[in-house]
Amino acid sequence: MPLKSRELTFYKSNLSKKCALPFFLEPVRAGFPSFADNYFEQSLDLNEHLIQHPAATFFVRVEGDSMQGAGIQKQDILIVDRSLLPTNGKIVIAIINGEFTVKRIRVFQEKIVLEAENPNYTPIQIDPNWDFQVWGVVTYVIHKAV
Amino acid sequence: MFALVDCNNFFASCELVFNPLLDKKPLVILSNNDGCIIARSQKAKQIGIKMGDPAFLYRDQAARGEIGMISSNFALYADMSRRVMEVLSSFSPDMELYSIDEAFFLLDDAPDEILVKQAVAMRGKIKQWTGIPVSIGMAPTKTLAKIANEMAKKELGGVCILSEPAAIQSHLAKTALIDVWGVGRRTAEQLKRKGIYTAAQLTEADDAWIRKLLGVTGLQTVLELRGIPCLQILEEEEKKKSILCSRSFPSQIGDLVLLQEAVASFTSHAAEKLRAQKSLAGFLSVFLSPPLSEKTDSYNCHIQLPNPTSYTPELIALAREGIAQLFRPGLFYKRAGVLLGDFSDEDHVQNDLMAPNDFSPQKTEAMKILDQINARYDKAAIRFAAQGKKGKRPWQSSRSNVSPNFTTNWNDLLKVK
Repeated sequence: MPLKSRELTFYKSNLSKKCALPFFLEPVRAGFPSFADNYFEQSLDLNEHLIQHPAATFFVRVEGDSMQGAGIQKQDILIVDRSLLPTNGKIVIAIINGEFTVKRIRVFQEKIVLEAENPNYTPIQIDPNWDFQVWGVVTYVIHKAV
Repeated sequence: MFALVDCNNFFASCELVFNPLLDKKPLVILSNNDGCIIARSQKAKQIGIKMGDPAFLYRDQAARGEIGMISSNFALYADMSRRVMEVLSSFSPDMELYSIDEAFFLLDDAPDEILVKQAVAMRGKIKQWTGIPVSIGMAPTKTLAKIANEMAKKELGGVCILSEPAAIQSHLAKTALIDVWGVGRRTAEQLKRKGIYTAAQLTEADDAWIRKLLGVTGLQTVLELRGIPCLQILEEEEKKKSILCSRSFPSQIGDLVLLQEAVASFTSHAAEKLRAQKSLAGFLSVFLSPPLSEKTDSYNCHIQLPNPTSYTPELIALAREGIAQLFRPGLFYKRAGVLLGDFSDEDHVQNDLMAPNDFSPQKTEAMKILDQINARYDKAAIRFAAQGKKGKRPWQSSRSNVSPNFTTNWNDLLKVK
């Protein structure tokens, strides 16, 4: 008798995402189980938390104090994501006439202003004749606390 | 449809991402030991500086500040290449890394306008994410994609598609043989003698005749120019089958101790790469090249290892011995190198039963820790005494004006105010 044909649906397995399963090295003991086994979690990877687009992410070192008010101090390391759009209010790394600077960008209808967050610095209005470009958007500030 | 993505003036473009002021003047990048020009910015190309020109031709202009001249920084270029290729990998899953700054793709068939739109978007994305400008050429074969890429670079805003047979033929009529991928200088000369001067003429040649004259690869090139794909996308590069580390010295060296130091360093570097791809070496070969005026071949010493290994101290000891054998007092050498080969897999070792086997897990562990420390802190955080004292050694290549390792060293990060 021929096999009854059945309609089968094949699903392709998705291998694009890694799903690591915990591997218990502790031997299984008879008796009272360890409660800790129930709380097995992956360890934390800071890269995963801080970096969304690895190919577009760069680190830069802060030399000035113009962004103190935004919590950016001398010697801090900034995480810069070049893939993000420098929309109004973002902290950006910009190049003005060849010089790198970190400032908060304000985009108005007809003009772009770079604002420092330190009363000793005046806002810079970008002259259309200047050589100006936004290099990337600051996503995190790494500050050494000890 | 095939696509070739090629970074424009790649080495120069990498430098400009971190130092845009360099673009005010023509910029050239020098080879190891600052000998000749290996890359040029657009402005440098425009004033007629040629690839491979000796650096001294332009030293005066550089001293007067008319052109920028910097040493090559391969750590930076390799990292920027990795980034470009990572962004590109979303273009199509069928990707072949062809060189540090080029990749081929197989694209799904679609109307030209759609392909061009995709390519323009990809080009914009790479420029924004990495700062590197690229050109994209698309055509029915890899050889034609290469030609389309050249056109994209020259006139067409970075993207060019060659798909219509008539358009292809008219462009091939303007393409010199030497600009066809796979046609070398000698082949071009050979064809010229037979009256073939352009790529278009080559497509009209008789198959059997070409095959006789240039072999199967020559015929493949002709078929590819006619739009018949012969060359496929090569899958991800397999593990390397040999690892070479060799350098020429800034000035000739006639001292055995220094030569051994140099070769110990090359060996350590090669062994690190060997462990990174989880291989063991079956042989080690060292060589020394005397200057050309000596009229001798470079001296080569091949050493078969009793048991495959990736343990640096063992390899260094053998390399030093090899150099001692090759060395002739009174001769001055300009280059030395180490080649590791005959690899086997770390996990499937075939040992020689008769040879003494001093394999120990401690050695493996020690190398693992060594690699981890050097990866984390500094390439030379832990070194072998055989590599000589810390600091600049006479055999190390001189790079007088090299940019910081902006993306691979915490001490070299870009500074912002």
